[in-house]
Amino acid sequence: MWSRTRQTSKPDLAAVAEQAAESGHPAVRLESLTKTYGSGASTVHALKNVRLEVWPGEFVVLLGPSGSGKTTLLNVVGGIERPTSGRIEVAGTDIAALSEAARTEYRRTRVGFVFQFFNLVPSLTALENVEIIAELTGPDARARSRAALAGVGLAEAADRFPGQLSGGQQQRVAIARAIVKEPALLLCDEPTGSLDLEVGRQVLGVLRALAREGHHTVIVVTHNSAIAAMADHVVWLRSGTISRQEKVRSPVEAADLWW
Amino acid sequence: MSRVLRAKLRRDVWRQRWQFTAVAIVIALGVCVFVAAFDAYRNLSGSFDRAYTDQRLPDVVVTGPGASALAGQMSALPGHPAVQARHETETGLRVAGHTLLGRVVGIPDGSQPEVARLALRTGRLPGPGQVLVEQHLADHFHLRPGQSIELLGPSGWQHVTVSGTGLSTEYFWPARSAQEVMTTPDYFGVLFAPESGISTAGSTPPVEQLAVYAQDRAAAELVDGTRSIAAAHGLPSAVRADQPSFHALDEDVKSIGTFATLLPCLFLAAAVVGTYVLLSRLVAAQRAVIGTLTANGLPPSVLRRHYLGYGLAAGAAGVVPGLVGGYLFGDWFTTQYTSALGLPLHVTQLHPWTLLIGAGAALAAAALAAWAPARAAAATSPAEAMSTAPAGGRGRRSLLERVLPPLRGMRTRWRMAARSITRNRKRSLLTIGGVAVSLSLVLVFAGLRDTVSTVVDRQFGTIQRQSAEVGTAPGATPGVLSAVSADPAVRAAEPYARLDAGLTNGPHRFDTLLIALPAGTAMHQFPSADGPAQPPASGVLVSQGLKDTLHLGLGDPVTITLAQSGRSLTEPVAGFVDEPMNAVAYIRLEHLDRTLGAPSATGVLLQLRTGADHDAARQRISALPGVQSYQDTNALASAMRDAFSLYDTLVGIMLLFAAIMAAALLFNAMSANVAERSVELGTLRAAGMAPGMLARLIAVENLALVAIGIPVGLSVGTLLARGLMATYQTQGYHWSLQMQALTPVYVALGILLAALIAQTPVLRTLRRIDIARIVRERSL
Ligand SMILES: Nc1ncnc2c1ncn2[C@@H]1O[C@H](COP(=O)(O)OP(=O)(O)O)[C@@H](O)[C@H]1O
Ligand SMILES: [Mg+2]
Repeated sequence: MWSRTRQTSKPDLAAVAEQAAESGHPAVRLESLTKTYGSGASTVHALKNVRLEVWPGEFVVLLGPSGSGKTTLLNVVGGIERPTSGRIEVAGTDIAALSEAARTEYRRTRVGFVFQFFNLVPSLTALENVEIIAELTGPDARARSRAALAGVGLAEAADRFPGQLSGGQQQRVAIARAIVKEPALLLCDEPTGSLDLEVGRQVLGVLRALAREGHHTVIVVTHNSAIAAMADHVVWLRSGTISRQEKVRSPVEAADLWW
Repeated sequence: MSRVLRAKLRRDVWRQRWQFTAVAIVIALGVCVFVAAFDAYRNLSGSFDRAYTDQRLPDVVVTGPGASALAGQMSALPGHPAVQARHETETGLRVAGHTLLGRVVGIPDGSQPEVARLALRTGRLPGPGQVLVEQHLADHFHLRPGQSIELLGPSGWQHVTVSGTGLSTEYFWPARSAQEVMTTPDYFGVLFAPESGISTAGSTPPVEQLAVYAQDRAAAELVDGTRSIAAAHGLPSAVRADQPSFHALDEDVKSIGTFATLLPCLFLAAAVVGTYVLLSRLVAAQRAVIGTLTANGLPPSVLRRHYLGYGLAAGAAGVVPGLVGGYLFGDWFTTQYTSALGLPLHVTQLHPWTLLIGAGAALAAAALAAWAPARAAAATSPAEAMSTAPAGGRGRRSLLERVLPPLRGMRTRWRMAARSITRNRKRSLLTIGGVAVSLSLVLVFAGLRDTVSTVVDRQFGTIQRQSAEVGTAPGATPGVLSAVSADPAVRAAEPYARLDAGLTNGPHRFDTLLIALPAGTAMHQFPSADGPAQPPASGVLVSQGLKDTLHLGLGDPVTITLAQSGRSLTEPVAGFVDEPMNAVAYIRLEHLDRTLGAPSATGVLLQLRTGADHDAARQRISALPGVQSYQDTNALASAMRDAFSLYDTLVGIMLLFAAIMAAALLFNAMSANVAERSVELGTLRAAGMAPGMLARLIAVENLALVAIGIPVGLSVGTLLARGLMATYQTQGYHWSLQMQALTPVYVALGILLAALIAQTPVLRTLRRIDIARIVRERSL
């Protein structure tokens, strides 16, 4: 399915993105996606009949109040949770139908996650935190990890442990960890939620650049509507349904955001 | 404690029910072992004490001609002494086709003796022509009143009738002498006969004795008084500590007492570790909540009580099953022990103090374990409420990596595993300690068991080469020897002498056996690296164990006084022999005959042909005229093994307990480890690390702790076993720990297996880790 050969022969993501776009495959296509929790009277409809298309290389911002289903949507797309019903096509394949093992492989080869709390392994250095994931996805793990760290501007902090890094630095390590395997899809859940404005802008800048130059498809979940200004595509979620979406012609730079 | 906090306590317990149960189990085991061992100890020593008092076990026995004449003098001593003069003799005894050595002890005609009373089990006291059979012998041959047995008298075998069966405190453990503590009922048995008939009961003149018992038990001076009177008349006296049965049982009960204090300490120490790991993990996980509560003004003392309460709850949960289990286990052990001895004196009493101490110790252990985490909780600063950093301390390279730089080339995930061992050092150390304690516990028992079987194998496989020992009536040895040699099943036969003797070196004296073997004997292998392989032409070989007792050196003269004839001879020490089960002296038979100027042989040693029918040979040879006893070596060896078979059971039980304890501790440590790192582990899973790989990492981490704990436990256990062995030494015996090479391997494998089993539930949790829940808990 998500064959291992992909890991060794790194494709040109830009080419893949273009190819996908030309072939008419969206990077992510959600169709009548529903997710419920619990049963009977206590059923929670976290996602109701969601329909969404995200195109390769797009920088998507997913907005919505707390409890609106943002995290659920991200988890379902990222293969962490199974939907109750509906289709999730990623580059043309329905990942809702995958087995547990295939979903693990899907996450390993196709998806990068960035969480609000950086969730780094405290006993590993910045470089090692990236490397542990890099080792799962191909050769030259160390060189690739260094490159990923350099990509987020942390080349000189490689040998420091998480406890010796600031919040923004830790979040950038987490981003490096997510992108080291060159995932087609980068999913970020409140990546700036624990960061101040200045550092938050820095991190968003890194993510924006990844979408623009690396042709990753990036979905950023936030409840901070100011961030919407830098997106290619803004999606508003309310009570589990998409209440509105909008493509942005000329997004602003991360550095120009203010909240 | 507020109602809400109580509800929290209940829910915390419920959420961690398996970890909580694990701690409760370890506490229960500790309480159980304490109550069982202590109750067994108290029941047994209580039973023995009561029997010794009821039946008046002699405080002192004076032996020798004229002993009975001292009765008047002795009874005038303070302490209301009861005195009893008696005679005793040894002779051949035929029961159900078996010929064995019988000891006939005189009792007053038609009444109980004043001292060393008999507890009748069946029938009545013997009249003329009757004997009362000691219970071990009666049980072995199923003897009942009215049955007839044969005694070898001065004029040949004569029939006597069994009047009854009973127990004597002097033969609770049916030892023949301090040197022959281990006997079998088809080699040695005791009978009680009226004093009036004693002189005709045996083939040799009876020995005169005076037994003294202080009715006022506080009168310790009686012992000294009696002994000095005896000494003034040149008569040897033996106190209770010299009495073979008393001594053997006393040693045994004392060692149970040692275990009763040692084992529960180990278990409760493990319980402290388990509770501590559980609670410190709980406090660490609830740091933010605790911070919020203190920020809102909850007094620290309430928090401290809350977490102490959690520890005490675990203690309380373990106490009740522990007490019940301990009572049952102790009862079972006492029953096993007394029935192994053939003693129906099974006193089982509920000792409220044992229960109270057990419960108190368990709760104290739980409180002790909870103290540090509870204090940490109380000291949590309100700022912790804001903390988002994952628990588990600062990262650093492991010592191993620093020492061995090539390790830095390992896969990062293995480096993570290596570092996680030093990440929570206290917990790692405690886990290693727990593994070590569990393992050493098993090793102690396994070591004792191994020693016994090694020693028995050595004594009866290597040192003593005879298939059987035949005791002969005085002067009958040459005839028996030629008849035995002619038996088709016999490959070789030699005369030998086995004589009760006192060895003296200046002020030091030791009563033992003098064994005389012919030159070039094939029946005995003297186990000494540098010493002679044969009995020396002159001089004696002395057991290693007597070297210290008698303060002997090579070439020192030692005086040997023969008990039967009263003759003595002085011989230089020609060498020391290292025999674990014998503290005796060896001499060359020809040399002894020459020195005494008379034939001294008392029997024949024989080796049967391979494949010979041992039972048929025994029956044929027992029936030969002049044969007084027939001791089959295999029967003796297996009687010894049986005597220690309780150890096998104990090793099994301890292995089970220790395995449960190790598993419980590892389970808790692993659960804490995984729970504490659930976020980072969940993140790795989210990033696509396969659950199998993660499980392998965690398994290796924990097995590494076990691997460190194993050598520690093996060393501690060996030292402990060696120490216990040293306390178990009896006079003249020279035992050291003889662990079989594979035993530590098996024990280690057993603990490893327990560790592997303990892993499975945790690894399963790991596989089922709910990534969605973990990432969501940490998201807005
Ligand atoms: N495991 C769960 N069980 C029950 N309800 C859940 C579970 N996870 C999420 N929910 C509910 O689903 C809804 C959407 O949650 P979530 O996607 O986390 O929202 P958001 O990230 O937008 O704040 C919420 O109402 C939440 O309470
Ligand atoms: Mg959320």
